Amino acid sequence: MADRAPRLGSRLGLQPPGRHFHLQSGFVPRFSIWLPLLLLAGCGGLPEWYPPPMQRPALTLPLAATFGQFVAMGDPGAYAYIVGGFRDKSEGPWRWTHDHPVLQFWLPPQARVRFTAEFSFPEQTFSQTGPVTLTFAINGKVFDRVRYAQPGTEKYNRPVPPDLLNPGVNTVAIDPDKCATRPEGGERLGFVLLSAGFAE
Amino acid sequence: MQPLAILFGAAFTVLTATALGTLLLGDRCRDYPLRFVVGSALLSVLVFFSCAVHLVYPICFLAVGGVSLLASGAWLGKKQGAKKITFSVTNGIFIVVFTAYFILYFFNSMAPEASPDGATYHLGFVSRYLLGHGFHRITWSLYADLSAGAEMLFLFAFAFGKHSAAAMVHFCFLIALVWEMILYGRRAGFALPATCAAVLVASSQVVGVDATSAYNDVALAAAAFALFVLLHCWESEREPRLLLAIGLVAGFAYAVKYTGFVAVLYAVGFVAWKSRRLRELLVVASGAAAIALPWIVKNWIWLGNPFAPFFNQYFPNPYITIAFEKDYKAWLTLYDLPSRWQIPWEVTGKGNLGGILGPVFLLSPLALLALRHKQGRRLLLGAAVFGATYFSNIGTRFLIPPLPFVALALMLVLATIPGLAVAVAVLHAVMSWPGLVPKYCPPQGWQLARRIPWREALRRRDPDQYLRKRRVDYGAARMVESLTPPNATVFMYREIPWAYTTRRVLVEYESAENERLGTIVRAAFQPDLAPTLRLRWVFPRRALRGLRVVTTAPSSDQWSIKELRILNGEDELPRLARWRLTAHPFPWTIQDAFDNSPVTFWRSGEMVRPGMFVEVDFGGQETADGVLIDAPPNAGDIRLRLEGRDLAGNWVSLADAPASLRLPAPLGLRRAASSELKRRGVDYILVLDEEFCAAEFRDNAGLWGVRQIGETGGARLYQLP
Repeated sequence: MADRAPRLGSRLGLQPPGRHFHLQSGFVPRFSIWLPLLLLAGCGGLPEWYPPPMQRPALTLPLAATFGQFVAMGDPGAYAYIVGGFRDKSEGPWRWTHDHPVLQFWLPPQARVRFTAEFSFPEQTFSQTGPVTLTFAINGKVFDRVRYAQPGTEKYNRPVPPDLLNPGVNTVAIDPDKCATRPEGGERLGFVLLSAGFAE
Repeated sequence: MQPLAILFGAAFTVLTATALGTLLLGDRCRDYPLRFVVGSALLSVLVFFSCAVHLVYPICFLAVGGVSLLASGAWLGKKQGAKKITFSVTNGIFIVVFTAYFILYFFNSMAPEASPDGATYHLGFVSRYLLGHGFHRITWSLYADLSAGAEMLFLFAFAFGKHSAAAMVHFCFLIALVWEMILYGRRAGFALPATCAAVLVASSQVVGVDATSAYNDVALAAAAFALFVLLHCWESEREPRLLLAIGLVAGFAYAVKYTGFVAVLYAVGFVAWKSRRLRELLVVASGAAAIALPWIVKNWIWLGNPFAPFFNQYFPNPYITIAFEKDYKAWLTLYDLPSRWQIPWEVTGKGNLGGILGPVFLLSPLALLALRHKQGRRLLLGAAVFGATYFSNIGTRFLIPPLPFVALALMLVLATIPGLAVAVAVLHAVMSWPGLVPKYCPPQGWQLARRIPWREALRRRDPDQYLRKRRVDYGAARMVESLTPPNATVFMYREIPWAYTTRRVLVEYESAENERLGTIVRAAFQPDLAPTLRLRWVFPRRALRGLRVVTTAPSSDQWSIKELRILNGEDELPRLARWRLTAHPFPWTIQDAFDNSPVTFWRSGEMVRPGMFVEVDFGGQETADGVLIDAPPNAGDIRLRLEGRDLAGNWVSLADAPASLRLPAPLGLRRAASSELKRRGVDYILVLDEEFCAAEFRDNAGLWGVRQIGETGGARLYQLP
């Protein structure tokens, strides 16, 4: 290397030592060391650590809650919403009610919501009962009655007066005024519920 | 007055650049186009440093221009014996063609600027630099990261003549390019083919639209061709002063557009090949570095990525995600085409890649026959070098830089048959006239108006009306300007011509933070993004110093966490100030997974791979027996493991796959989302009627807590609570 340096220098047109202080002072070798380090610096910086931030007001369900504000009867966790008045098992996405079906829902404070439900009156029970009136009650207080004069699927959607609601758990009963009775076993069948709950 | 201001702004910029080029090149190069391009490199870097030190004032530009003009004028006065280069054409047909296209382009460039990118980011940032008297750190748009060498010249002109002056400066690059092509051909002994090639380039539809707008592709083409000419001048004359000019122009090509980096390789490679002298190479490299490095350093200092918005994998940063870069680059390589085989027809006659070169360019493969000649080989090498980056973005305008080389090589070949080159050039010029293009090219946005807009250019017609006619969304930009206070921030999903508003405009795809804002809004009403999945790990209660959740398998999705909570029994451990949070990758937003909000979130920023983690260091000892994560539904497909750091400091596995529970989306998400946007500095949301969220905001404004304060041309402006 010692032999090669002057030859390479003269070939590249460099002046003898002393004229080019940058080369003499080792600027180039130093720069050649710092440049890769600078480049590497751009790739570094991970991981970075942060303190917990300011906490926002909670919107989510309590940690222990297994139910929220809406349920579809086909959901695996639908049982958590049922207080009583339903058949033990769902039939796919729907479930038979009895004469006093009650569900429970969790609501945040000061919620402005509508109650929404999708249900059906099958032909075979409607032929027994005829037109059915459903009474909707929230936390034991009736807030609506609706008469259904035809069999088939219905959708219910109505704003709920805020004073009927509690922060936290709320129960909703949807009582049919008439039920059909199964010939075998005498089970009383109200209607078929697909989904129910509160929405914005 | 406005037409005069426009003409003054453009002319003063071009003259200043030419004066600087004259000062540098002196008598070594008498081509005015080359002086202009070389001087543009110098002026560009001067304006850059003016921006860096916040001296962007018209008076400063007047001083720079005045001194340059005076200095170069004095110098020229001493060189009275210098040979004068005059433009001459060999044929009257060419005079007609060039004159017709000059008039067409002159008035189009002088008309109010309405191009898609010119009226958005090219001039959007220019107007903000002028308003702020220089650079300021912009992290909210990836377009601010791109090198902006041409925009520095636009800024110089914009300071006097606003938007149209900038577009006219770009038009001058086309004049310089065409002029230099003709001069080069004359010197190289093929004047007629070169003039025919100049016609091909000048009248090409995509070149015309680009050159008359505040774009930068024609500026890059002019720099590329100037570099080519300078290199061959230097090869024959070995004039050292040309080496510096070569370096400056090569660096300017990078500064104009990232894809111009090949110019630096070309220049250094050519000089190394021809000279093999380190000193000469260093001169070229220093010249290139003087122009290109400022952009690299600016990005490095402000964004942590010298080549932002690309190479984020090597320079991770909070501003652009790797996932976005990957999607963006993938889209640019194919646009909406089903196959690359469609590119030749699309770029020559169909126009779905943004304008057309003209059907005549289907003859381009014939240019390969020019390999028989030395000139042809040089030209085709230039075409190969400057076309090498084309497949990274297949837009037609990305073919403009290699176009002069291809046109010259093609015409060298066609000129071997008498009259053919002229016939092809004239045919191309006729077919490319704006009134005839729609006869064979389906209508698309990238077209000049059929009528020459001279009244609009001279401002005899209201520019506002012209812009509203050319761009439906121009009204939205004006609405933002008129209905919001200064310093307002407006979020939107699609870009509007924000060069016509001074407000801060955040477009969803333009930065990682904007993407987060967009997702916060989407997740408030789109079930696939809402926090409806709860993952829960349970493990024997124990004392720990830290916890982390680790991915164990790859996935084709990103990993997202809305909230991570650590449990002791049924109680959540309070998040103490001594805790420290991190994530790998993308640690910068990890706090969003610990803020108790179901609308904010941490996201990995790249596709899931094994070894990603989210970690909590307790900064002491905590007792825990469970971890709970609220996440969007797709998180159920990501394989996770929970690990804890024991009191000895070792990481141990606590639990494998978590139990999952589907929950309804919490009530109040919309209001929480709009509050979160407000907290992050957004004051307004602009929604276009055809957008996915238009009905949502219109029908549920009360739930969002927003108020519509304006509507125009299918755009609605909502004020956040």
